[in-house]
Amino acid sequence: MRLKVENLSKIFPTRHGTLSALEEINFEAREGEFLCLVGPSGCGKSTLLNIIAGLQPPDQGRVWMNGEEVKGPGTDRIVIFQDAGLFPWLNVRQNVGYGLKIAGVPPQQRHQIAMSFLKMVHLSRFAGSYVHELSGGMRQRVAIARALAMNPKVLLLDEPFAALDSQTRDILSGELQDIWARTKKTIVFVTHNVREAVCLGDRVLVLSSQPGRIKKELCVTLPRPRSLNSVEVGELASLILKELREEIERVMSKEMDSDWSTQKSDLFDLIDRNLGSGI
Amino acid sequence: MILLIGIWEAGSRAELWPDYLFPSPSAIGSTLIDGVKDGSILIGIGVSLWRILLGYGLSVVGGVLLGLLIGRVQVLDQTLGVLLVGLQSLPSIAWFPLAILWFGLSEGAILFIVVMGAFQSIVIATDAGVRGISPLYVNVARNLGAKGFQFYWRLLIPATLPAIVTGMKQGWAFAWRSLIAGEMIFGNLGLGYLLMKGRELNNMDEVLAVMVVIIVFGLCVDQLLFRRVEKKIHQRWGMIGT
Ligand SMILES: Nc1ncnc2c1ncn2[C@@H]1O[C@H](COP(=O)(O)OP(=O)(O)OP(=O)(O)O)[C@@H](O)[C@H]1O
Ligand SMILES: [Mg+2]
Repeated sequence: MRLKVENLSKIFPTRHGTLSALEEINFEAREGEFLCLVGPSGCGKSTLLNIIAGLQPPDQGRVWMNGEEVKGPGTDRIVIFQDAGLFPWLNVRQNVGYGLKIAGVPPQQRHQIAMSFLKMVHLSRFAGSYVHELSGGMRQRVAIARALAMNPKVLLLDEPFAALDSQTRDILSGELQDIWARTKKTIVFVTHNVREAVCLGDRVLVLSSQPGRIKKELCVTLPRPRSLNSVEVGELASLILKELREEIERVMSKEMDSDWSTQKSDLFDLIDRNLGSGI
Repeated sequence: MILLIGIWEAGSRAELWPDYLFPSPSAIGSTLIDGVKDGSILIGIGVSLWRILLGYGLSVVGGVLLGLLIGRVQVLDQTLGVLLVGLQSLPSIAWFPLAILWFGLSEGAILFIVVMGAFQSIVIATDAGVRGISPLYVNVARNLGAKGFQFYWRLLIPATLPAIVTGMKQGWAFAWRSLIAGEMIFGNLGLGYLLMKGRELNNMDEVLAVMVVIIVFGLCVDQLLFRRVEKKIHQRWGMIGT
């Protein structure tokens, strides 16, 4: 066992009372497992990852790494954020080496490690470039290299491909499976895209929204490498989607104005697209 | 610019106004050359330069440090931060009576006024810069292990740099003006002193010559130093408008 999340709850105060973002979340990620969490927008996915990363404290519950309780940020758990979060004042190689520099790794070695991971994400040629010179896909690759350079035990990915076009997303999810196979990292990947979750995960946890709870768990045994566009992935995804629909409908009726139901059919088009059944 | 000087020279030649009130460019030019030759202007520049380097340097170091702290610590912002914003409407020369009381008629008083001129702008700009840092950068840095001193040195300062430079630029203008004002009152060498001396001797050539030096010097620093640094940062950051 590597990562264990136990009874995790998080409540945010809002103007209209409190919002239960996460409620009683329990799960474990085995060593080397690719675990996907999928849930609609606003269900607390980012909050959950931030708590695991130690960037935010939970209100209740605990996170364990190898039997040790997580008390704050640590480089054994590295997050890859939706917007890569590369630093504009550093070039690509320096960005990848940022954490190593902070850890006090000497320049020569740092350089070497950074270059080897840049190579893994096929960006050696751009080592000297600055962030604004890179495309969105390239930025995510750099963020992946930066995370890997820290040699974390767990990689936490927060919708890393959500802002990318579908081709780039397809390529990158292929590469991520590759990297995972090569590095044997434990991965927790959150997304609102069911297809993506099914395509990447060994196991998929479906989250409900407000309160964010684990609603369903499902093992994916399809052979790898899987493609986002394969039929099997699509079939499995639409199965999950059916369940999510009902969930989203419930949340929407709570959040939206009362006239929303008249636009239901439009909404489901939107949901289908958003959750990734239509590509 | 050249046209303007031409008209000015022509006006003087035509004696539209008396020379002792508003001298011609050529008279100013020759006074300037004389001043450089006998060293008085050079000494003036040297002394002023030394004072501003010292005062401005102190303001930058202190201002950035305090700005970072105020930006991170809520309590400081609600006390010192508010105070500094309030003080902004006070021209730094207004500190002169107090400065004399505290430091006497000394270099210290002038330095104090220069610092009061530049310090606030730098603190306020740095503070605003810290507040403007994307929470994403903060999370990334903490996630990659930055804390304590490293967090300040490897995240806050570089991420705030564009704002710091803007504050430094503004601070420079204030510092330079404060210095000249201070020197005019306190008067021991320096360009402001030359200005006052010219007035006392009713030597408008010299007054205007020194004014030209002051303008040119201030402009040079702004254009050659700050503009370049700003441009470089904007390019690096990939901001538009470069
Ligand atoms: N600091 C905060 N203060 C108040 N409410 C918050 C805060 N952070 C998040 N929330 C609320 O908690 C809920 C979960 O937010 P979170 O960002 O974790 O969702 P998410 O699943 O990552 O959504 P998305 O898919 O849009 O990224 C949202 O309803 C959000 O409005
Ligand atoms: Mg999110």
